[in-house]
Amino acid sequence: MRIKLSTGLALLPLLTILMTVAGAVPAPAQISPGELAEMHADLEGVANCVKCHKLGEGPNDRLCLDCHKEIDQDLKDGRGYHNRLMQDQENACPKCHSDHNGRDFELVHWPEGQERFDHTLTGYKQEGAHAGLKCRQCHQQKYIVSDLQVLRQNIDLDRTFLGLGTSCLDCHKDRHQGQLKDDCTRCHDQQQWKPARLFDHERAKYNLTGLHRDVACEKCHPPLPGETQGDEPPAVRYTGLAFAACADCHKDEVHKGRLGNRCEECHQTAGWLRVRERERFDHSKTVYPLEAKHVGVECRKCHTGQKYTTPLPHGACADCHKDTHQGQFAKRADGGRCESCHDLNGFVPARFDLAEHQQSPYPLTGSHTAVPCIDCHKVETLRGDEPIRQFRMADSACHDCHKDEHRGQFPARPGEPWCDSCHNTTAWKEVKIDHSLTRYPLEASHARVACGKCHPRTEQGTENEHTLYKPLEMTCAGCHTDIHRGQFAAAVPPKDCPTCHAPETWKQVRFDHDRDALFSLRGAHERVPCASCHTREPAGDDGEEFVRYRPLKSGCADCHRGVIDDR
Amino acid sequence: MKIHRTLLAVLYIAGFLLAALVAADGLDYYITPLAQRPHQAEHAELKPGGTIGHGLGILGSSMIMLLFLYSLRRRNLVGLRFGDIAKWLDLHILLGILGPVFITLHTCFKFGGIVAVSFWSMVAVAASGVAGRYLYVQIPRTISGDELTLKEMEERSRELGLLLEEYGMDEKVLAEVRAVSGTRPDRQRGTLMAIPAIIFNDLTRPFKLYGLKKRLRRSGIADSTHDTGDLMEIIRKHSLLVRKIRMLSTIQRLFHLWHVVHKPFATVMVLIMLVHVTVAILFGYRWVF
Repeated sequence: MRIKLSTGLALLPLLTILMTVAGAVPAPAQISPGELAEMHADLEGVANCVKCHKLGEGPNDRLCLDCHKEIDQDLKDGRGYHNRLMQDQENACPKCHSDHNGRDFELVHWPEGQERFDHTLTGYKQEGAHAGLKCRQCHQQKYIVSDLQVLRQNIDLDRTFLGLGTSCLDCHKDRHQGQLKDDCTRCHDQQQWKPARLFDHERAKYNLTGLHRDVACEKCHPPLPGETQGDEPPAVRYTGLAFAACADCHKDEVHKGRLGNRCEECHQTAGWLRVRERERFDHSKTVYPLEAKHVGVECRKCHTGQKYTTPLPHGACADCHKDTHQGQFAKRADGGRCESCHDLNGFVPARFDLAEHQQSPYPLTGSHTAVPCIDCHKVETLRGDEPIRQFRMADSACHDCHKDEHRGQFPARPGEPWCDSCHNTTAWKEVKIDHSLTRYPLEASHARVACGKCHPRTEQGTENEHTLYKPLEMTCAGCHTDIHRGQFAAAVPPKDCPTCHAPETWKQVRFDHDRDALFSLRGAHERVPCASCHTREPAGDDGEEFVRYRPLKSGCADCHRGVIDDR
Repeated sequence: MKIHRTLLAVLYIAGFLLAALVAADGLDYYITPLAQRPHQAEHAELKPGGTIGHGLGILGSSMIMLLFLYSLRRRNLVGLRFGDIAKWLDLHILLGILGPVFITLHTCFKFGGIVAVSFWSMVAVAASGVAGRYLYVQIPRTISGDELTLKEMEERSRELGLLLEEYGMDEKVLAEVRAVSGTRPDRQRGTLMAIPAIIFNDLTRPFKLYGLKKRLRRSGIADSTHDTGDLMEIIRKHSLLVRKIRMLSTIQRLFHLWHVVHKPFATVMVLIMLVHVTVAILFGYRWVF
């Protein structure tokens, strides 16, 4: 009993082992730590261990990739999710795809579900409309671009997430029919296909400017020929469009080709009527070539209407320019044509020169030739309210311009020359006076007397200071002092100075004692010195002595006292 | 002896504390279905080949291998002649309890493949170890663990009987005391059937002693003036010794049979474990090395 029971009990564990080895536990799993997942089920069995495990090392990526050639290809190409994950790792495969966890184990695990997978990890960030897509909206067999089945025959293309390209055209139809490069994101974002919000026409060969920006795309980009499918709009032509010349799109209905085909030299895209500045426009091709200063005038100064092609009157300057002279020259022989005095180089200086002025009613002479025009032709208001420079002078008298330094001493006499009787235009002080024509012709030494001796400055120190010319006392006494103390004025009849004195000199006396005096000198009296009879008398109030000429007593005794006493 | 017990207590506490910490830390992982575990963050540490899991396996298997030192000591092999057998057994039991605990945590409660045979063998060995320990204590021993002879047992029983007589117990009361030991000497049972009788006696003994204590008080043998506790301890020991003397030959047969079960399972466990370890090393699992 003892032996039997002991033997039986000892066999119990051995029986257990035998049962285990024989089949109670599946044979392939004897060494295996667990069943392989369904996808790896064909690798069950001790003989297959080394297909995934490298002896002495364990699971080995290289062994995984020997089967998963599609992944291996991604790693070699440096693309895809696995490439990004495995770049810096060794034996990375089991970290995500561990096995021996049972038949139902998900070798591909989505920690937060497929739809919440961070697609950025794949190197393709889902943006815009892509962000809302379900996985299988993209990961479909029809979008797979890689030759996955060539790499691994048993791959299930309906289940795999591999093989998709990252180019737009890998999934999307090329709506541009190959006209453009495959870099769709240059123009389209991932939010929506239309409008192409990233498109910038400035990057196109034809840069849109001005009003071209507002032109509807289809105006320039016509649909491509060909049939469309369903409601699909026709493809649009974006390349191969002629745009080098304006005429490629626009018709020259205005100039009819007269101005050539380089429209852009005058016109700009800001508006057909907004013609460029004239440095680009050849106005010489028009009926009115621009010259001189007209070249610099803004177009709109003349072309005030909407269109430059609207005919403008251009026969006369006055068609554009205002007559700043207000018709002052209208009565001239040429009718006051501007170009008689002005040219296109500018309104000023006028071309009217001295020679022409000499042909005017007021030829310039002397200093007048040096006087600036505006000193005579002043700005005044003669007509209307607008002051203008006066060229039609109402009078041409000196005093129209010059101040009367003589303060009216020489009033004009109608029909007679006036200032120019004495003055000329050369110099004011260059006076030409013929005193003989005056009421007081100058004779003898008078002619040598300085003018100012007789014509003194008067009202000195006042505003009215001037040289006195009239009225002047024209008698001798008016100028000379009577050193005879009125002896001859009291004569009957009075005797004036010229009776005795000649104009040549004071001392040249033309007195004839026999003729002019009551006492005739005869005999010895002729030899008697004057001073013997005409003695000097004491000074008067002024303290000066004077010679007594009359009245003198004429009796002999009056002089010869004691010799003859005829009393 | 006290140092030995203290050391044992410390080792038990440390071992169970470590196991509890790992179990608590990995509870979510361990209760997760197998197919979901690899997707958990703890998988890298707690899986059998993980940093912690593999370490637990090495620790557990090392403890299991060490517990065989007891067998060597018991047989005085390889120079192991020192130390009391009882202390070596305590160490053997300690390793036999904690080792399987760590091994179990190492398996992550995933049992498959040929190594599962090793695991379940280990469970069988451990379970039989518990039974063996139960049988072991049914055989009275000296403090060093050596078995008492029947004569020594009977002398000890007689000494206890004399002590009881000192309490003024008559034969009637002594018969009640002997009844607490349960098994009647005239009753013949099969060897295996003795096991439930022993277990039943051990389970019912406290109740019987309690009833006897109340009767002794009513009869005036035990009262508040006497040390009832000492009296009841003497009665317990006496009754237990009486039961062991009565069941000695049966227990000794059972103990022999127990060895027949315990050793082959241990052998199977170790052999497959060695295969498992060899395969693991062969496939690159070297823990931190």
